[in-house]
Amino acid sequence: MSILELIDVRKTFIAHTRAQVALDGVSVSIERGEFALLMGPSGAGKSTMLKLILALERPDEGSIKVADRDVHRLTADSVPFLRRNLGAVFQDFRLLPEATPEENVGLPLRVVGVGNSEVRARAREVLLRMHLDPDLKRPVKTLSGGEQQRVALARALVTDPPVLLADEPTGNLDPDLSRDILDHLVEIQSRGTTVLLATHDPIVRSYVPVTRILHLDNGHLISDEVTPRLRAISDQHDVAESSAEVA
Amino acid sequence: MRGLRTFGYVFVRGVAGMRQSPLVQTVAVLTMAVCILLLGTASLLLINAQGIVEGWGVDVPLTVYLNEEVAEEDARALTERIEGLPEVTQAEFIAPEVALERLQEGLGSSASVLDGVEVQMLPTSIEVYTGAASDDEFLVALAGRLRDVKIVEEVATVGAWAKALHEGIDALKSVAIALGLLVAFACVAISWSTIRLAVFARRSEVEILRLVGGTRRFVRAPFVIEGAIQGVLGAAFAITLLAFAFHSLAPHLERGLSLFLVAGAVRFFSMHEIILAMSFGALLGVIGARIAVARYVEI
Repeated sequence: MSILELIDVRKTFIAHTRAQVALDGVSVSIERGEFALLMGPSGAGKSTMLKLILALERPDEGSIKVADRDVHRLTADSVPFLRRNLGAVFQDFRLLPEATPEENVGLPLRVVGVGNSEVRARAREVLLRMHLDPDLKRPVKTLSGGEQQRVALARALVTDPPVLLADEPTGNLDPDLSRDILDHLVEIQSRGTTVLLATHDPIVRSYVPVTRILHLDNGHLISDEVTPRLRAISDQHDVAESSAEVA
Repeated sequence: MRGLRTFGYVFVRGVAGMRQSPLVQTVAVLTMAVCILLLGTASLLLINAQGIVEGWGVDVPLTVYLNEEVAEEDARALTERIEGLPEVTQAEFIAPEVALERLQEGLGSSASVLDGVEVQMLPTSIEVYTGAASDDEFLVALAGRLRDVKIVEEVATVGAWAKALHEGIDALKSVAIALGLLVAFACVAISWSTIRLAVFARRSEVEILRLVGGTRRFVRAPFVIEGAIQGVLGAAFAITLLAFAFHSLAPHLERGLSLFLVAGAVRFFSMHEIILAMSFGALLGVIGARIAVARYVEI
């Protein structure tokens, strides 16, 4: 069953009175529990695709569905509820620089009005999972790049979203820290979260046991390669769904 | 409870946001304070001028003094007859006891000068109020007719100077209203421009709040709270300055104008009026901030 679906999506941007095609007729379907890799050089349209899924941009044509709901048919008041089900991490972390790791991680819970003690408990739990000190009271801007990215990951996961979108999460990190972040992403996917990771780094492909590799170039989807791991995941889901039906 | 927790969090973020740009906030609050100070000064002049005029009794166009032996039922019957006239909006029967009470109230701390004055020494009277449409000719004619009534001792009408005084008060009212509108516009513009700057300075924070699923209200609320705080602080600062100036000047004014102030001293805003002024400041700040965030914070 698809959790993310793009159907014939087209998006252009106007730059200096010239229209630049960011995505041109892209159709993709990603199943629940997958680890999909979105590859391509800079400017291929990877970030645009993630922004469209997050409803930060609107497509010119086509539709984008998250769990069968058309993202761009949602009203402005419903969009935040969609985003609460999509964890997101970025190359530039997008953290509140003056806030502590715990404050940053607790932000998605604050948004939904969770109480102080629960915010603290859940933020600490996820920070520990990311091997970060939950008692750290320093502003995140004083942390290393790897630590900041782990805080960003923790923030994306604190609400247990079914989908995690990662846009070049290792782009600013050295190889050791990159591997650490990728290990976390693999672990997250193994818990059942669907991961869509956009990267231009070919090493990621060899390091991460992905289920699908999407190649974008110049706004076109040039390949949608399914790996043997997808079959295994699909079988697992089929068994789970059958068991649920029997039960 | 959830809403209250969210409000608490958003309020803290609003205050934290203000602390990020103290200079801009200080300038905004001071500019708002100056604007509200102008309005406050005009309002204070107005309420005191109105108070003095009321004290003089010149707001009553016609007063009918009845003779000493008049029976109360006769006086009340005349009151009803006067009130029945189409040009008359209200006719109020004033018993000597009420007249004495008013005199004591009007003299305030100097009421002791009335010690020894007995109720019987004051006449029974009828205060007659006419509509705005009635002219001086009607008042003169009415006074003439009333003088012929047996139980009437004297009829007093306000003169041309009182009319001019009322016109002066009306002009002051117009100035206060015009200033109010001008101040409202200025405060909204100040709040709008500072909140616009704040949104620009904190655009990455806005982006993050959108990303984690913040609703339109959640993302915009800290800025609106910022606007409200600016308005309240501006109003509070203006009122403090005005209070300081008033309490420094009031004794001199009371001494200098003692002849005019026989019916009561000058007064500062009541607590109710101060709360109203602060709320007015907050409202202007909120309006400015709402306009700014509606334009510059997208979801």
